Amino acid sequence: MIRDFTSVGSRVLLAVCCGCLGADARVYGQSPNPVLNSVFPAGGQAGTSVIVALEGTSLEGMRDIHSTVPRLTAKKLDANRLQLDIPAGTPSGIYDLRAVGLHGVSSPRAFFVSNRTETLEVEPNDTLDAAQEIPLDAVANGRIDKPGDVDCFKFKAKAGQRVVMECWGERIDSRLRAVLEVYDADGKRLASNRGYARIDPLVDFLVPADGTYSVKVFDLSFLGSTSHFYRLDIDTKPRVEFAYPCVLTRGKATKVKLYGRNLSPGPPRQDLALDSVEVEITPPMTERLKFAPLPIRPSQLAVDSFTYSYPGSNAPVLIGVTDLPVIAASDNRTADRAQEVTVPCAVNARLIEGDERHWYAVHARKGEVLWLEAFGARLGAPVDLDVTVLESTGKKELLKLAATVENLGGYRFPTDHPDPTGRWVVPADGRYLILVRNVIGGTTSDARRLYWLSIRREEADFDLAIVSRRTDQPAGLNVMLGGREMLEVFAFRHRGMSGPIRITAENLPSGIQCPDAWIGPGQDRGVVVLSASRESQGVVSDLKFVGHADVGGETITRSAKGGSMIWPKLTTPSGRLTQAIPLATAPESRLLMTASPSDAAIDQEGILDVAVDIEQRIEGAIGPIQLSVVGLPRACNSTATIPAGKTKGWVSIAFPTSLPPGPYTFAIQAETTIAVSGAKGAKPAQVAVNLVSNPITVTVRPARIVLELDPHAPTKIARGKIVQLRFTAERKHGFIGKVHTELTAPGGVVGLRARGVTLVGQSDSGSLQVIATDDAPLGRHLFLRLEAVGTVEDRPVYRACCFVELEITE
Amino acid sequence: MTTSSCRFGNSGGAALLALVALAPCATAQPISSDVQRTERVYFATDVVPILTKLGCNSGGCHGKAEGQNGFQLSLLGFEPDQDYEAIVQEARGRRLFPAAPRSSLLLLKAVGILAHGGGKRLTIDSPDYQTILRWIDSGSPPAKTTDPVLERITVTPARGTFDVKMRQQPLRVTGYFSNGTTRDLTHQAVYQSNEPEVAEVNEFGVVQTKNRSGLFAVMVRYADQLAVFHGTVAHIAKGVDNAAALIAWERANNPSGIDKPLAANWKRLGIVPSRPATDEEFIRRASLDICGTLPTPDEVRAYLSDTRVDKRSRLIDRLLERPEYAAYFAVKWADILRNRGMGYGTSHQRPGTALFTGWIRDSIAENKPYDRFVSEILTASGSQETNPPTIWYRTIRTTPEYVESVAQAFLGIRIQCAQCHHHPAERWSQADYYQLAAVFARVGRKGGFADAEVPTGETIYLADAGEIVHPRTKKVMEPRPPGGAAFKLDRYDDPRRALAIWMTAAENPYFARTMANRLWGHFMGRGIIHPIDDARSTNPPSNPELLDALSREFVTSRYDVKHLIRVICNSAAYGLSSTPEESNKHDMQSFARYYPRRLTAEVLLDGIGQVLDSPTKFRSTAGNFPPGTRAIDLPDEAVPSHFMDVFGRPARNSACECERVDAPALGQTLALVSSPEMQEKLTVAKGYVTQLATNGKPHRENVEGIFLRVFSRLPRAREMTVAVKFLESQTDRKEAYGSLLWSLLATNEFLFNH
Repeated sequence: MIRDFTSVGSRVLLAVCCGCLGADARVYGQSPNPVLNSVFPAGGQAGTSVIVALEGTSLEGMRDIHSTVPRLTAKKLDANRLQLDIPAGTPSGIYDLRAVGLHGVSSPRAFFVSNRTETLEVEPNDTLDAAQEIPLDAVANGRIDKPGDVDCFKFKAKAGQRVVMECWGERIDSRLRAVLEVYDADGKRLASNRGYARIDPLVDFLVPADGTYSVKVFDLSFLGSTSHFYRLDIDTKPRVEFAYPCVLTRGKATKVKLYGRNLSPGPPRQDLALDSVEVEITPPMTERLKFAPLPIRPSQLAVDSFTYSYPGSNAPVLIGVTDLPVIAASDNRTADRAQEVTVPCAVNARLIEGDERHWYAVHARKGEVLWLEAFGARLGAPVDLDVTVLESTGKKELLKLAATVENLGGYRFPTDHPDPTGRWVVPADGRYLILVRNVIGGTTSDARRLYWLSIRREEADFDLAIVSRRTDQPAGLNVMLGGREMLEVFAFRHRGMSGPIRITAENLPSGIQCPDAWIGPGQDRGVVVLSASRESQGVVSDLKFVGHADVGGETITRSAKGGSMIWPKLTTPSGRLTQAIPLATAPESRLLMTASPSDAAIDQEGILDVAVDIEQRIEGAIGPIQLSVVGLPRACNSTATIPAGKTKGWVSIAFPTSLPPGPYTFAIQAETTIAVSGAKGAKPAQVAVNLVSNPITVTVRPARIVLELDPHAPTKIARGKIVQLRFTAERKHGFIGKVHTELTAPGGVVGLRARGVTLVGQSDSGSLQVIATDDAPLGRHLFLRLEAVGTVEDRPVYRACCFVELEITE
Repeated sequence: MTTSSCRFGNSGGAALLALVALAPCATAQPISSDVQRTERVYFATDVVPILTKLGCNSGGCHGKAEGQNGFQLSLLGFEPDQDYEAIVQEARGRRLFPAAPRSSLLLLKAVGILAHGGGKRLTIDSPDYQTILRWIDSGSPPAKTTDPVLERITVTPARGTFDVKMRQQPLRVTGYFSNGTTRDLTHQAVYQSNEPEVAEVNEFGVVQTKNRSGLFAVMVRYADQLAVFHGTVAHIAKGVDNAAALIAWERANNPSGIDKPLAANWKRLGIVPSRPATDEEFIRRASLDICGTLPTPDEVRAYLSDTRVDKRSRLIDRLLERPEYAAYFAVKWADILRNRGMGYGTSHQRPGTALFTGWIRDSIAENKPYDRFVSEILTASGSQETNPPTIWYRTIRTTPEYVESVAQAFLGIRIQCAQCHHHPAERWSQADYYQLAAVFARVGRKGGFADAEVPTGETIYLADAGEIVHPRTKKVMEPRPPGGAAFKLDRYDDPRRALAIWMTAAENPYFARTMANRLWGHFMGRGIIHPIDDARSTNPPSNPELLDALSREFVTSRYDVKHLIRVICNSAAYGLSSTPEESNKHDMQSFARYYPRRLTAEVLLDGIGQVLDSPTKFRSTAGNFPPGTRAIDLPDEAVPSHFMDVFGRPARNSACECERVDAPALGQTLALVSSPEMQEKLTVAKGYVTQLATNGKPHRENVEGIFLRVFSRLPRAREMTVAVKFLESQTDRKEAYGSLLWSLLATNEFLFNH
């Protein structure tokens, strides 16, 4: 069955797609970034065909769809419309859809595969009088396509039916902040809602009498655009909202209550409270969430979970899984009724009342290290948990778990959440109390306030997320032929995990390369760089990135999840996980940057000089090239500029003693412009170019020499003059050999002469005499440094450097 | 006791007046403790009240925040410890001269021997001078914990009724001390009338009525104690037997419930209520008051033709079920709750204001019990993106805003003075202020978009810690409600929850009364306590029995707002005509007639749009509103509308309903005469003017329809004649109807609810 796309604007959308190319090319000249803003309709019924219109930027040459819907096929109808054939039997849920075109694969948009009848909104339907009739138990796909637009639908229902109207907006990547209002045939408003599943509204409605009822959909602020799309469920069929217990032991069959609506056989509940049905579920044995046809937020990455679909329900439900014994909370609302629990364990509970408190008691021994981690908001529960460890009397607080987690991904991939986590070193043998409460409970009660509390030993673990380096708009992973692309990797370290993590890429298609990359010890972010050969045209392939880390002598591996920004320029951060990490190749790169060395070893306090060479494959004057280091901790930041017209240069990077020894991978990023000739007689266009180098892996070793320049050392030297640079060179870690010092610079020291000093015996300070020649180039000498070489049996073994700021004056 | 009241002769010379003034001296029986009092003077209860009586510690003199010429006293003497330090210890003790008390700077300045900016305040032979002198002479002892404490004062009589024969009443003030003694404080107390146009009171406590009937109260203050005298000045009937008229009215209207205390008041005042409003007046009035919306001609006709005896209550019930009721009252509450859209970017704030306004509207539509409504706001927690009442905390974010908004919006008291000093006319001290502030000390905020003036999208939560320190004593304040006992809280309890429980308890002295008074004020044009959010013993209700009855009704109905509205709107008082009778033409307190008032900005704009069939098109950078959106539907005050601004739409800068002004202004006239809104509505293609111009109906028929739309009544014969004559005189039919409508919309009959 094919449903035509009839709403307005398909040609307009195409124009938008094309019109934006120019802007994108100007800004990011070398590589237009395909952005998919909307897929409309944003879903279809399994076993049917649906015609969808795609809208976005840089989508020209669209030829296919990349989707996580298994076996979905697409047939192109015109520039921006495709026919999608959704295989029968596809599990209901939200999948990723991307456009594949001339510039590669686009950023993702959600696509809902449903088990309901699907309909399309037909304008005009702005008033109740003009409401569009749709059948009950169907999904209306609509758009609030202009400011002030209101969409009205009507349906027939019988007395006593429990009709649930749920609008999907934010959860399917829409910009719509929907409001639902339900009216009877006389136009009397019966119910309304402005947010139930976070900001997506739901109205649960007991039909008072046989008749026709209407529902209005509009934006809370009366905004509207083609990106304000939605799906409106109007049905009487089962809907599951959450499962309780909310965490199950891996591989263990467990009786679980599913809570939702229209789950119980027989007449609906008159009080409109949540229904429940008990099922037995055996969670998978596999580590980590494999695939969830649901929108998963970045903060949920660390929630070990799986999805379960109740027969007939509209969407699956996310359930936690753990390798710990799972227990249920019971009758523990006061300190004197604290529930005794045995470590390790995961406790399931619900803080239904606003001021409810749960008390647990544990017995622990002095020096034991326990990790307490609460999961609530990350399950989608409307809670902000507070976890406190107290003495057994309940009077003295010993530990308040940290309630905030750093937002690694910032605006584009917000990883922060309010669930508290903390490490507790038991001060003495004894019994201790753990208090769990919800600090946003107010005076209301809510059955959805789930949480589980994990109490376990210090067992290190980690998770990884890989996202585009672009911070201005969503992006797919596209590597230009003969070029490179970089991804940012975020490491979520759990329970004391501090060692380095190696990242490898799997499923690499022919012509695509991705050297292993390291996230250094204690670091929570790094980079991977992919390159494509000039012959690897037309590649579209899902990649797999795996992290490897040594934990207690064993190597554990974790698959990385993809992540994407959803919308730029919102007041609230907007990002989510993607269900796949597809890579595509894009047209040939006009420039290629190579950095060397690609691997090196360096001592703390050392300076690494990275030479950069840009291969220019396009005619045009190249502007100044700004170089920066990407992928290293902030303490190693360094920048340099290659003058206009030149394509070679270097950047020097200092590795301070604060950087833990271990392997690190980084890359050099270059920003420049090229004057590209346009039409005859036209002024060349300045095209912005953003390049990334091959990855460089450096192994940082413990410092044996710590160099320190006298803070009062002169910073200026006049031509023909002499200055003294006093310094200390402290030997470390048992090194006692000679230390030779020199003034050096990459490419050689120009205009300055200095006599090195050799420190022997107990001596650890010296003075470097620097002479400026009469023709020394004026200005600051770039990357000038004092270099120390420690020798062992007269062989240079250890090195240390510190930058010298010296400006040559007249 | 000396007879300083002899000086009373200065005020007028009338022998009678002098006699009356002397009365308290003459009639006051010697109080046993007086003799003892002469033996010892107490600083807090003897000296400081003299300074208050003399005006030394008033806000215009040494009582202001920075003091006067280096000498600072606590305002009105509410902080005797501070005053003792200022008088005795400050300035190296130069203000007192223990060795020669009469040479003390304090006395020399007060009697005018030395230059004093405040002039001569005392005479050497006055008892007050002697009291201060004795205190200095006795070594100027400070207040001690063992000193007798003034526990209360009383005023005698507590009530009085005045008429032609009885135009004066001397008051007598008695103080009761913790040691069991009493004292006549009549000459030391301070007096103030709340209705000087009805009655005045002099410094010796003699009440003198003026030539207007009405109710008044005289505040009496001594030290930190207050008492109130309630007076009634009856209307002087001229050849009319008002009492008989009132009896006739009572027979006709069979007053019950809340009409009884009103009738009792009228009886005391000697006035009669106006005649009942006509059906046309009533449907217009009720529709505007309940729904902020004019009745349509069809609704008017249907109501007029309805012959059922209970058609008024049926109308009220119908109106309360209309969405306009919720929308209209949501505007009122959004004002009180300061749901502001203005700030650095309305587009960023609009989702929040829309969410909160929607929640308010839904709460009103579903008739959410008022106690729950308020509790949900006070204890709101969670994200401002998802939990609408937390938006209240977006605007209310500082200590003064917490305290003053809560006090004013929900308790009907103005406590802001107590931020800096003891409330001059009430019991509220700085401690009361900061104890209420402490309730909100642990309101935590996190997240949100906060790169500019007004953060939005924050999460409101119960923080672990947070305290409020008394600015003067530096003590950490315990959370405590005004006038209530300290909360019993453990460290994990949210004090806001305890406040909400205290506030919404049936026995709370403020909560139900404030809402009852607020709604009464809404429907009757004036609160029983007026201003409606300024309840204090010195601003008593004009009809306490009525307020009690309404409050009882509200509490027993479990804070059912619609029920309270029904009670008010079904009363005989609400159904009175706004046309005054001779006896009640000056009445502005006893509700003997309906007090006309100008339509509010939103209602007026909507009304004009409704009459002219041309709804206003509201647009803003944050979104365009759907066609047909009414002004009372708007989510916040930031939707641009010059028309509404000139007609007093408030900026929501305070919780006071007084921010919505209905004072006339030139801009209003200009807006009615030549604003783009008016021009657009009068000339819009499918508007009412065009309909009239093209419907081909006779002018008479159209004029009937016009009057029904504009005034909810049919035209009177003369009006019909004039209108038809005008229309017939014009050649351009559209222009003619436009002019007629334009004229009618500018009349007071349209602009006012009456």
